[in-house]
Amino acid sequence: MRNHSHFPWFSLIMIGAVVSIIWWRLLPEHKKEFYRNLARQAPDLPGRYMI
Amino acid sequence: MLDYDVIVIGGGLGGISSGALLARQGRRVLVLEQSSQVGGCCSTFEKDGFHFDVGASIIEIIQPIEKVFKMLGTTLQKEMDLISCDPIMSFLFENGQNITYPLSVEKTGEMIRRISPEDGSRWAEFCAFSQDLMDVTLDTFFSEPASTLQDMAALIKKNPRFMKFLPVFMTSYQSVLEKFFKNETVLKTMSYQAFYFGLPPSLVPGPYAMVPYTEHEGIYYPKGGMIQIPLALQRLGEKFGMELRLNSHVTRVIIEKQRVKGVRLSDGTTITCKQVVSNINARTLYLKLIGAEYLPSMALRGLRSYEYSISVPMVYIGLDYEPPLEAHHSIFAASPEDMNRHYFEYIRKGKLAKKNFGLVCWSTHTDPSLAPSGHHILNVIPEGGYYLRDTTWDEEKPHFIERTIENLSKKAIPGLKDHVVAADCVTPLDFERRLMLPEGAIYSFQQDLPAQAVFRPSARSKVISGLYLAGSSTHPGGGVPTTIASGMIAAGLISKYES
Repeated sequence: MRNHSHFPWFSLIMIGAVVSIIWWRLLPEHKKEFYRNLARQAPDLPGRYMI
Repeated sequence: MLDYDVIVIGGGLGGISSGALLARQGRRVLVLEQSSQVGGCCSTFEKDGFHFDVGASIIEIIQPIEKVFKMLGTTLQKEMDLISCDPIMSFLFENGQNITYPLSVEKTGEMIRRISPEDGSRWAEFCAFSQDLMDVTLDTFFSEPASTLQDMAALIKKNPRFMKFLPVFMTSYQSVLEKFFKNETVLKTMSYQAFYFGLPPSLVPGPYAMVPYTEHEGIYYPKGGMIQIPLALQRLGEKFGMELRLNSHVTRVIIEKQRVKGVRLSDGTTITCKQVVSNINARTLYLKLIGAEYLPSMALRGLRSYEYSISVPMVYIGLDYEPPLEAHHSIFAASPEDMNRHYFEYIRKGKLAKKNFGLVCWSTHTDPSLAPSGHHILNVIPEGGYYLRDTTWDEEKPHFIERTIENLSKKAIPGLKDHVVAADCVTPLDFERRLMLPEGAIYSFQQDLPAQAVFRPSARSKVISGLYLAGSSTHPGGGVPTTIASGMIAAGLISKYES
């Protein structure tokens, strides 16, 4: 039986997700508002660049 | 032969400055203004002997304006009597306390130190940061085109220090401010200026947080009213051959093979030209004067996606006494959170605030000649949305004047209502109808990060050849120095691409 040494991608992704959630939850409301506003308009940016 | 080299649609600050600069380049320029005077929001009207400013109430960040006058072969100071405002601003607190900041940076620092020693010690740091930011951005971002990635690269090439401040664009006005100041009273004296960009402190991009400092570089008022600025630009433009037609309403920009050929007026007249500079709102230009059929679908989607900045109902009051205020501008002190709440809970939901909010401009404090002897003027900007939940601005207007005066009389300016001899109001609907400002948004499209620079309608149209944009809906956005800068940028682009 071959012994695979897997890089722990799953653990890394999980840690990244948990850190992101904690980071977001710790952000003050005004910073969340700033990023929410940015994310909401992101799909319009290619069109805006063309005008 | 074509009738003109360049036709400018709209005699607001962006239009009249580009018109004057293009005439200075030796081009045959015609400026078409739909109203009976130039200036748009930066103008003055007379009622019962009082000279009220329509919208803009001071000049600050004077450098782009000085640059345009220099390019026209003169100086701003030669063309008008500029009065320096000192003190620069007074903040009215709900408990009756007033804080009035003088022009002097040092004296302001001492005042802040008395409120909070920690914040006082950070004031010098904030000033150094803002001065550096101002020096770099005025030389680059606020005076050069920023419509393409190549433009942005050129800005960085012109001044590599611009790179240092790019991360600041990814933060908000509020974040920058709160990095330096912690005391709520101090923050209440620096938050309102976010509304100069038509948004609350949580949405205005970080670089604009330099304004509470740049005001100490100088705030000026032109003797005779704000209209003196566009009048001076008109005078200079006409000296170089620029023609101006008032009461001329453009209904169509004539396009052939994706290139401008001229314009059509409401009386049916057609005027031909090589280039058009549009100083009107970009969405109105593309959708009403040109037509959606000329735009690629993605560009059309982008154009339709813009949201407007706040509308500004203005109440103009003539008084027969000297109001008990201390500065040209008085602001109802509000913390960043108060400002955000006002925007999201009132303006966005179509509700009018019951308590005092906004700015009071006492123009006769600086220039007594605006009113009859012994009389004074207050321009009140209580802030409000375009859409009202339970009524319309036409219905609300008379009550709005009354309520604004009543509210001011209660605490902020005791006795005011007994001395009112003239009053008028321009609502967001009036601004829309009279000045062709969609939704009455005097700063045009929102000036948040997704509507800045390369994401704002391009000063050199990316879809129609020979079409250039000036005014608040293009880069660098709304405001007196920025719209004048937009005129300078449009004239520069025509000089570069249309020899």
